[in-house]
Amino acid sequence: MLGNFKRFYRAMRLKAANGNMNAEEPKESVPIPTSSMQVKAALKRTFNGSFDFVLKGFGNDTVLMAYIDGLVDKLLISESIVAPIVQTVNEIENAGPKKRKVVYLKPKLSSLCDLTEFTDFNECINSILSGGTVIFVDGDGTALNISLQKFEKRAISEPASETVSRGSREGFTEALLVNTTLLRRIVKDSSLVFELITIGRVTKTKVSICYLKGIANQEIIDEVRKRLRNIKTEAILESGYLEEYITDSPFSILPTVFNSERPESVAGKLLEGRVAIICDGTPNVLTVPNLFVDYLQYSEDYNNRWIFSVIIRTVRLFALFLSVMAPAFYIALLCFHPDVIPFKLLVTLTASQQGVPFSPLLEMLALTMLFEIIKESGLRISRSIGQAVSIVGGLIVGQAAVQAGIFSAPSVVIIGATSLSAFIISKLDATVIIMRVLLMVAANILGVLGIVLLSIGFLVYMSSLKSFCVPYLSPITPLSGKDMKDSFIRIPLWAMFERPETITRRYGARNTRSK
Amino acid sequence: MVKKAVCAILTLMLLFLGGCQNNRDINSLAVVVAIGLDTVADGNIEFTVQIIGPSKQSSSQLGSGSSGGSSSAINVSAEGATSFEAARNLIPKLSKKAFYAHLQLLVIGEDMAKEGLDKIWDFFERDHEVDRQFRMIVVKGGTAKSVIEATASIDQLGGVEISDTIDNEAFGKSVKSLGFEVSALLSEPMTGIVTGLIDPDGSTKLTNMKIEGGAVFKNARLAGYLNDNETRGYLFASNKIKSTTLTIANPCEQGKLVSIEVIGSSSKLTSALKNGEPDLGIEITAYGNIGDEQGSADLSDLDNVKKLESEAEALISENIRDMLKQSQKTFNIDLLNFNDLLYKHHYKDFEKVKANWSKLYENADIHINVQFTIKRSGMITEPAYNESGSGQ
Repeated sequence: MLGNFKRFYRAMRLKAANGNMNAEEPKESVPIPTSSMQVKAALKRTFNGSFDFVLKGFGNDTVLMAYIDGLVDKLLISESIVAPIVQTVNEIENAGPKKRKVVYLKPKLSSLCDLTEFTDFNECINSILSGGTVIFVDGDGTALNISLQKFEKRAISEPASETVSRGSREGFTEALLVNTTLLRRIVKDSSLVFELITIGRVTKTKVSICYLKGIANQEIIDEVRKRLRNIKTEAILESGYLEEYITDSPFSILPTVFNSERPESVAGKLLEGRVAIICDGTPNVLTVPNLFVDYLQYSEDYNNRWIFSVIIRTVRLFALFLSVMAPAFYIALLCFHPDVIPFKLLVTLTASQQGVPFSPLLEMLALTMLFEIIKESGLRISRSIGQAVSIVGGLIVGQAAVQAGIFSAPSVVIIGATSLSAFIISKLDATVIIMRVLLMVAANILGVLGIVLLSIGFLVYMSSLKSFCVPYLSPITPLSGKDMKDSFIRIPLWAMFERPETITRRYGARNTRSK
Repeated sequence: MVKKAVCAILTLMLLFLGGCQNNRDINSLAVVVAIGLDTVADGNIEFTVQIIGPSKQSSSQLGSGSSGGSSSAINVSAEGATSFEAARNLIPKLSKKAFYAHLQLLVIGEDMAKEGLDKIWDFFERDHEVDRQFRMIVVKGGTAKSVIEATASIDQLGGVEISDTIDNEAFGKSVKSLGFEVSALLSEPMTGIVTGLIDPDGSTKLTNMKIEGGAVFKNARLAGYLNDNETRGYLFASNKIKSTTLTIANPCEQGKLVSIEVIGSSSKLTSALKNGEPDLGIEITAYGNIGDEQGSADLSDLDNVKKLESEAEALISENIRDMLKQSQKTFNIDLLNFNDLLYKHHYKDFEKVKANWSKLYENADIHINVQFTIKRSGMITEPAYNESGSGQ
C-alpha cells in the first residue's frame, strides 16, 4: 500500500515539475504598439474596465499615462510626472517624425530615481500591476516606467504570536520592502543579500531569498533557489504555501521549515548561516535549514543571562516530553502498572476514579478533543466575545464535568498540564498532538512497553529526516559536540566562537579574534 | 535483507516478551491495603482484606471524586483451607479484582501466629503480585479481623494508619518487620524472628490500640512477646533503632529525672568460639541530646555529661540484658542471629558444635559494651527555674 502511495506521490511530483498541472504560460515578448490609439485599446482590453485602472491622455492622446489607483502616490505623480508632461506635450506633438519622441520627455523626468524604459508590452502590464506608472508616447513603440508606489500597509507592531519580555518589540509586516528594511537595519553588512523572484502565475508574489554571502552554505542557497524556482502554481498567498512546496518531506508530521515573525530572531538565524525566505504579503518569514532544536530556542534566550537560558531550555525540554508523554504514561500506569504508582497516590487516584464511566484512554481522548475545541474556538471567535470561551471551557468543561462524574479530576489535571506545556513549543503544536494521541493508543494496548516501542520508532523516523540536506536531529544525531553549545544548553555568548558546523560546515570563526 | 528480517523479528519479539500485558484499569481493581489472617474452626484460614473504597466526601456528591484524598475502607472476609484458596474465596464477595501489589500491612491473629507462619506464608512469597515490602504485625490476644475492622481516626484506612504508625520509628519500642525480612529469617531455623506487635486492649478504635513490643517466633511459631524495654534492647542490639527516649536519674539531684533523646546508634555483634564455647559480644555506639530535665542543675557541665552518659549506657545495657535473658532462657532462640555470624566467621569450628547450638546459646556469655555520647543540651544549658536562686 505504501508502495502504491509512493508511486502516486512521485507521479504527482513529476507532473507538478513538468508543469502539466499548473503550467505557466510561455512568456513571449509583445512589442508595444506604436500608435497611441492601439496602446489605449490594448490596455483597455487587458484591464477589462476595472475601475481602479486609470488611463489618462494628454494633448490629443499623444502621451498616455497608466497606473492603478491605490497603488501609487497621486500627489507625487501630479507634481513630478503630470507637470512635465503638460509642459512638453505641445513640443512632442509638433515634433517631426525623425526623432524619437521620448527624448523630449525623458530629460524632464530624469529627476526621478526609478525611471526605466520598456519595449515589451507585457512588462508594462506587470509594472502597472505592481504599482508602477507607465507613460506611452505616440509613435514611439517604447514606454517609460516610473515607480512611485504608495499603498496602505500595517505599521510595524509587536508580533502577537511571539512575544518577549526582553528584546526588540518589532515584528515583520506584510510588506516585503519593510521586512527587508528591518533585516537590513539589524545586519548592516554588504554581505547581506536579498534575491528577488516572483512566484505564482496569477498572484505574482514577490519572494526574497535572504542570506549572508560567505557565511551561508552555498549549496543550501542554491538548493533554496532551485526549489523556489521549481514552484509552478497559480497563487502564493502566504509563506506557508512556499513551505509546503519546498519542504524536504511533504508527508512528515514534523515541520522542516522554521518560521518567525521576529526580525531579531531571523537575523540570528542568518548569522548562523541559514537562509531566510521572505514572502510578500505575510509577516511570517521562513528560515532553512530547520533543526529540531530550533523549536526549543527563542531569541530571548540570548538576551537573558545564559544560566537562565540553560534552566529555561531544560524546562522547555521537560514541557515537550510532558506534552507528548504525560497522558500516555497516565494511561499506562492506570491500566497496566498500578503496582508502580506510589501507594498514597494510588489511594487518591483510586478514590477519584471510582464511578467514572470511561476508561482512561477514552477520558484522555475526549479531554484532548475538548481542549482542542476550546483552543480552536478561542482562535475563531471574535475578540469581543472571547470571554465566553474561557468561561465555558474552564467552568463547564473542566469543573462541571468532574463534579458530574463524567471525568475524573486527575485526568483533567493531566490534560491541563499537558496542554499548557504544549503552548511552550507552540510551533510544534500539530506534531505534539498527533504523537500524544498515537502514544495514548499505544499505551492502551501495551502499557509502558507500547510507549517505549512507539517512541523508538518515532526517534528513528526523526533521525531519518533532513532539512535542506542537514540532518534534522543534529547536533544530537549525528552527534556534534561543538554544536551542543547552543542546543539544549546555551553556553555564554563570549564562549561561542564558531558558527554551528552542521549548518555552515566549512566556514570559519564567528568572532574574529586577534592572536 | 537478512539484517532487515532479523530487525523485524527482534522488534516483534519485544511485543511478546514483555511479560504479562493485560489492560485492566484501576477502576476494575480493589486495591488491598491490609490483610488479616486468623484461624477459625476446622483449621480454616480466615482471610480479611481491607480495600480502598470511594472517597467519602464525594460519594455524597454526584458520582465520583472531585476531591480525592480521604477514601473509605471496605473490609471483606473469606475462609479457605489455604491462604490462596481463602484469597480466591473473596471473588464472589467483591465486584472487583483484589489487587495485592500495594499490600501495606499483614496482620496475624495470635492463634494463627501460634499455629505457625508456615501454614500461611508461602502465598505471600509465591504470588507475583504481592509486594514483599509489607509490614507484618501480630495481634496480642486478639484476632486480625478485629484489628482490620477497627475504626481508624486520622486516616480513613485503618491499614494505612497502622503502617504509618509502624513507620514512625521515633518511639523506639516497636518493631518494623517487613515481609521480605521475615521471609529471609524463616529460612534460618536457628534464628528467631521478632515482628511488630499490636495490643488491641479490648478496644475497637485504633487510637486505643498500642503498637508496642515485639512478637517472638521460634520455628515459625509464636513463642511469646517482648515487652517494650526488651524490644528496645532488641532494636539497639540489632542496629534497628532510629530514635528513642532514655529516662534516667538526674545525676545532680536526688529523685529528679532526665530524659535523653537518642538520635543515632550503631551496633556491632562480635562472635568467637573458645574451646567450643561461644564467646559473643554486642558493641553499641550511640549518641543523643538532652531532651528534658527535672531539677535545676546545669547538665552541660562536663562532669554531669559524663555521669549522664554512663547512666544512659547502663540503661541501654539493662534493656539488652533483659532481652537476652528472654531470648536465652525463656524462648531459647537466637534472636540476634549470632549463629549466622559464627557460621560465616568460624565455619569449621561452628560446624562441630552446630548440632548443640540451642544448648550452647542458652548458656552463652554475651558481653555488652555500650558507648553513649551526649552531643548537645538542646536550646538551653540549665533550666529557667532555679531553686537556689543563683542564676542571673
